[in-house]
Amino acid sequence: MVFWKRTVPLALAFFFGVLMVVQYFIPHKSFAELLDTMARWGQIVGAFALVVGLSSLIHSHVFKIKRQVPGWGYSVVTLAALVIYTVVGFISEGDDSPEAAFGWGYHHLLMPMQASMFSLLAFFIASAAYKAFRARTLEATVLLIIAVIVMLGRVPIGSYVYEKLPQVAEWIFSYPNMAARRAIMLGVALAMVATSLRVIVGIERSYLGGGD
Amino acid sequence: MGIFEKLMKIDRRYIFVMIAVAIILPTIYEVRMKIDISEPVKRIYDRVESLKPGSVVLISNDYDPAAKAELYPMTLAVLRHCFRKNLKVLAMNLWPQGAGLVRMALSTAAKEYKKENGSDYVFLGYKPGGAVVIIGMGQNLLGTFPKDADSKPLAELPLIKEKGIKTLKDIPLVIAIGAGVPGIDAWVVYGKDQYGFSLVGGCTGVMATDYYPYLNSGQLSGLMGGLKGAAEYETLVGRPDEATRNMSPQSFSHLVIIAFVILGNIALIVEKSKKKRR
Repeated sequence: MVFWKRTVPLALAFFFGVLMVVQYFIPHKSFAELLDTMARWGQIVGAFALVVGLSSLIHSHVFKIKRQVPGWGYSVVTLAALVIYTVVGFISEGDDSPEAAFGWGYHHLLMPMQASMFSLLAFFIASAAYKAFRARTLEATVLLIIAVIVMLGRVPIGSYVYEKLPQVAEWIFSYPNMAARRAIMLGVALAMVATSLRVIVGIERSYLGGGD
Repeated sequence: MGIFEKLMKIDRRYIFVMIAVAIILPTIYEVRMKIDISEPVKRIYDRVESLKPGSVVLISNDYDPAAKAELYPMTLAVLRHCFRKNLKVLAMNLWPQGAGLVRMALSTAAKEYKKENGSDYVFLGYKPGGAVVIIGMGQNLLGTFPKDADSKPLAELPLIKEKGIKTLKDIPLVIAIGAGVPGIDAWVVYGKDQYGFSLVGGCTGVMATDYYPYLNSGQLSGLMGGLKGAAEYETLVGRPDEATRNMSPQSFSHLVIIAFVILGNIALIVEKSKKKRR
């Protein structure tokens, strides 16, 4: 049992991990074909992830409905929407033009609902900015000044306030922001290399899951 | 309780009302403002302009309706520019819920410039897999997308046959308009760095700061950030539309936020000095 649950996955991770690293540095036709095959395998595995996600969603909401946990009514709505929209999708053969039922749902239900949820952010950000941007310390004051410059510099009214404000905002983006972002990205990339190496050589095993 | 103490503890519903007013009034009265063009957006425009008529451009629209307000105007402005220049367009999604938006943008722009599906543009549709799809397209585009979004065999479409497109190496410019993962990062790491095409990007306003290192290193040749980026591109193309219209509500809402921040800080300073005196 240990052989199938631990040894085989570890061996596969090692073999394919090393293979993918090697192929990147060898521009040979056979390695290009191998990458093509791997990419197709990846797409097939990716499609299965959808099945796993769907079953997890159904399981979690059915559980909430059975136990009648607070807010279980929302789970009924979620499952009903899932079933109805899937049936509609099959009937209209996935036609997403606004004239078809499937496309109508997309254009007149999903699109306004998602856009409305995202739009609410404007109100919450305004309220959060009012509460958070207080010049209590030197660092907070610097943050506050930069935020005001960027907020004004990134909208047309900024150039009416001060002609060079958009350029100042762009300078903040291109130099201090870029330097900080690059440092973070390098740190993250090095950590990813380290984690990948740990997975390849079998030190990091959390992806195998727990239990017997 | 004094006025400044009240200001410090203002009910957030007053802020919500002021923001709503700052958005609604400029929208109703259509206040127009001058749009300044930033260098990263100008670079995208110049890159598209530098292509010869008939060249192929791939536009990857990796967003969903939540980001429609910022990114859909970008897609539309870029498509209008490409069709005006008689460029051939391949459009696709790495996000499943963006397909309807791309179809809408393609049909709007194609109608305006009398372009035909299959010969002037092709909609590849959505494919799951994110970065793996990009790698697949780099190795074998027709293998990754055997059919277009209307289930027509890709190899038989006039655009693909005429231009002999087999992999990403046959496409000189990729425009990645994205709202998250997979998106611009994936196109940089798995696309641009491996297959060598020119890559430009469009993203939401909050994400723009993340991509400046790519811009600086040359991995991105240009960048449109948020609604302002879209409005700048509309201005460059000479077709002011949704993004340009929405610039004044955004400007006034920013002004309201800044006014509240200033008021809050005045209240803080006054309250602090009062405490000191006591």
